[in-house]
Amino acid sequence: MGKEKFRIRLTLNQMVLLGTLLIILLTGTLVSHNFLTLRNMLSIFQQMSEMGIMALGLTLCILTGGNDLSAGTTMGLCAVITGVCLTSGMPVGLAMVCSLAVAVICGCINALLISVMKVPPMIATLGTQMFFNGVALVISKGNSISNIPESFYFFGQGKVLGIPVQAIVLLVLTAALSIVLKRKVLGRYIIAIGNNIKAAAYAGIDTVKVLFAVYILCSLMCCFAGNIQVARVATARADMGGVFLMQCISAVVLGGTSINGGRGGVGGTVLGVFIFAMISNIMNLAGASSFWQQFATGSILVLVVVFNCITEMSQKRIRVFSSREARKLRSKK
Amino acid sequence: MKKLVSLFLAAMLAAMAFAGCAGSGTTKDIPAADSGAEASYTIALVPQQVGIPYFETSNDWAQKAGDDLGCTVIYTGPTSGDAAAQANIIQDLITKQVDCIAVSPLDSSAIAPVLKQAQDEGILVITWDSDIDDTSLRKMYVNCSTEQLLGEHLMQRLAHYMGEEGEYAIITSVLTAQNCSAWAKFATEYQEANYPNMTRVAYEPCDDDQAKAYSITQNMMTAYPNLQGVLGVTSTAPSSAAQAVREAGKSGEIIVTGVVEASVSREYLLDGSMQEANIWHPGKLGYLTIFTAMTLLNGDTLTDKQDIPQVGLVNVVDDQVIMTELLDITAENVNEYDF
Amino acid sequence: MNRLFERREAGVLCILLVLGIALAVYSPAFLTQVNIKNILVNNSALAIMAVGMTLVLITGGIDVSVASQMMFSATLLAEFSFLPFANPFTIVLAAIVIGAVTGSINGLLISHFNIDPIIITLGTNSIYRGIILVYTSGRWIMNLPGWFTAFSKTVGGVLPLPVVYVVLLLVLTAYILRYTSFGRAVYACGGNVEAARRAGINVNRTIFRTYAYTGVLCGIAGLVQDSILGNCQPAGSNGWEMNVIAAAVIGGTNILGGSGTMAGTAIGVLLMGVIENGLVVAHVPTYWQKLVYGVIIIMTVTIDILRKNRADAGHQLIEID
Repeated sequence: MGKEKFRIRLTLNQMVLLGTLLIILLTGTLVSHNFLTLRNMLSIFQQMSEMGIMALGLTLCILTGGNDLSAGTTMGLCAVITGVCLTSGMPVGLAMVCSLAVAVICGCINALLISVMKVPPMIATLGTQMFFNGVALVISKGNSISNIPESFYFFGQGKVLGIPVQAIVLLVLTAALSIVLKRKVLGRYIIAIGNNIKAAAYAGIDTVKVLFAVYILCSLMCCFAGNIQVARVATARADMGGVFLMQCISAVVLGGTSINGGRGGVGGTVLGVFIFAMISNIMNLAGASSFWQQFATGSILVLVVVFNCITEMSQKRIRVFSSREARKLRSKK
Repeated sequence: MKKLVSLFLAAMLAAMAFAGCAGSGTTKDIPAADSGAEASYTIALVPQQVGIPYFETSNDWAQKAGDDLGCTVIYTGPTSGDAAAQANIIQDLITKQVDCIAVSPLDSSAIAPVLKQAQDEGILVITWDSDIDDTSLRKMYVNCSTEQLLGEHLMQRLAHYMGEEGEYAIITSVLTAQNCSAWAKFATEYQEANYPNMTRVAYEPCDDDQAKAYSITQNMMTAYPNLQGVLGVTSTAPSSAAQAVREAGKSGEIIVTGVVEASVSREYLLDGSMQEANIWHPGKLGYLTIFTAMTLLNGDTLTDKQDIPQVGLVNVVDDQVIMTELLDITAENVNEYDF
Repeated sequence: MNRLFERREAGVLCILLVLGIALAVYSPAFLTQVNIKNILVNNSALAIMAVGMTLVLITGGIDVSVASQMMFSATLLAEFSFLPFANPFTIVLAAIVIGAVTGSINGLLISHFNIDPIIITLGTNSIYRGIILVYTSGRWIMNLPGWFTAFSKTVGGVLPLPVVYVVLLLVLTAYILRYTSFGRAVYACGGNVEAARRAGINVNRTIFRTYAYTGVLCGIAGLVQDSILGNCQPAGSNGWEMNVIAAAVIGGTNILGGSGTMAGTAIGVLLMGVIENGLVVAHVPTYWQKLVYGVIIIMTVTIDILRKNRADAGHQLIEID
């Protein structure tokens, strides 16, 4: 058996995504000749890592056909826990363990509501979103926690071989989750549940266990993101990550994951996050008002999604048309 | 998806290769509007949040300063009170290689790492309106008064109208806002030390949302029937509080003061629902910031009691430039101010 | 009478009454006319948006752009009110038109392209907010004319007009839901889209109209908000969409679609308003607010689900040997 030729066959969505990426890269180089420099790219990586890691977790939830609106506030809660632990003198390792433990608890609460009690994910996570935010606010009394010890800074400000630590974490997590989704049984189960949860259950998949894994993984991702941000800005606040949520969901969808689940992957998500981060960066380099950034992010999301839809519809039409033609030819013979 | 991931990595490598070709260092972005033979300086004015009238006024005057002094002023900041977003913006400004970053920090320690980066790159860093903890990271701090002085002054004026007794409440923006919390803290401490007959009954955030400030004031009037004063330490709060007081028919009974612009407070000062606005001219502060930046970029220093055009006399104490005009705006003089 | 108690809304009403009584006992100032009026008026814009959101949720969709649509309308109306031909009639017309435009854009994109509502409304959320912020740079629009703020005055010292608007819109929408074919189509689309389509219902048109109607309601909410506050802060009302959704969900609207009532939504809005007010009245710091909201939502949906499971269990086949 010969070796399979490495062919790149892209779906239409992936082509649109790459096209958007190239257009933005081009725009960036036109705006500023500092854009396409190594240093700026690394800077973008550093800025997008927190959002990217959260988006990875969200991808898993959305792939199962659910959603995790509590992702942002889980990040804030984990950040506050880390902050409180570190400022009370705990060593870095122990503080991180506490924070991870809290994240697991958050994920369990979500999974309990969604998979065991069968509460629709949107409502369940809307409730837990407010609840986690509330807990974080009460613990921190709404204040920001400063005096984070310098030993913790490495995760957010350190560099390994010139690459920011958080970018490495993002790449490693992306690769790991990609392998899980493509190669491991858990990944198969996730996609199956996303396609049709009842059918998956009938096929013998333990949907409760899989959903627990998914939501706990998502919360863990948020925990990583929270800790990285605390390390980056040397402060812990309950409202960290709040603004990320909607952007992350947008990035996941932009990256080709279907919001109803069953289709998509982490690679596209990272691309989506990268696109949003670049837009932000280009606008800052151009000195454009931050309000234009909001407008641009929303517009690009709508444009890409609509464009995808139109091209899919015309593809379907072409297919139907060509199959009709083929049938006509066959019947003529 | 693996193909997509590998394509992504390939695209990144290509981008880095391009970047390598473009040169390892970053070059200055020379502004297009450059008429003279010499390159003019680019100063980035970074507020705590864009979309707040206080900072927008600072920007208007800063742009004027840019025209007067012959430099380019870029105004950009986060759209929400997010310190991490402010850090991102500063990082991009460093990439853009501006000559000076003048920042009003949202959080006194959150942007320390990026400011250090800026300093290492040779970019001048100054702070305005609010300061950071590690003062070695910035050359100068342009402000109107120290946080302690302002906090005490706010309390003095409130107490003056309240007759130095009664219950009062403080409304702030978000609890994590550094300068607002500092003003509230110093005001409360001053009250505890000097006005024993006054009691603070509530300290609530309004998230810089006037609808929230309005409903909080109404709820506080219900919760504390003997409430006699409301101090708004964020510019969103006093006018909404005054509106609530006016509608409850308690104008003059409940004292409303705080940090707020003349234009926003005018109607309430004139009809008596607000007693006083204690603020400085944000425009002049913005102008002074640009002036300070230009002075430092040109290698000069500011002298104490220097008279700066458009701004007036300033005090220079160590590494602080203090605009000496803390204004007490009342119904009598509100029409003199244009901000 | 028993049937009344079995209704979903009864549960939330009980929670509301218990909370209200507890607060009244704790603080005599809670049940005063002024305080009740404050709660009602301060939540009227939220209530109007929640009416629209209920409709959208019933069809199985979601609209996270309601707060932006409201501020979009509020900003434009504030600017409009200074024009020479602005008067109470034209401004109401303007509110309806602006809201219809923003809502129709959502509706068109969702129904015509068959894209999931959350994505479209996420995008339009940023777009509408971005537009007004670029246009105003966040500057407040102050000193709205007296005839504009008169929209929210209290008649006879007792009846606040915003409450009248809310009640009128609630009754109107309840009527639409119950007695018009559009209302029936809304429920049908939420219950089972395919079945609705095969029953001959024009699903696309129904969805479009739902979002357009929600847009109109957001436009009116903007008008009411402006008149209550007397000025417009374009950067305000951030994040209100979550509270709107929460209110509808607490009131019993099923987020998957197919069920929801105006009465439930009204109770949901009231409950959230009472919590916000009650915390201050009870001298509790307001940073507890989110926690309480979260607990209430989790509690109500848990009770919902448990009750549903129990009802379903009652329908099991019993085998008799």
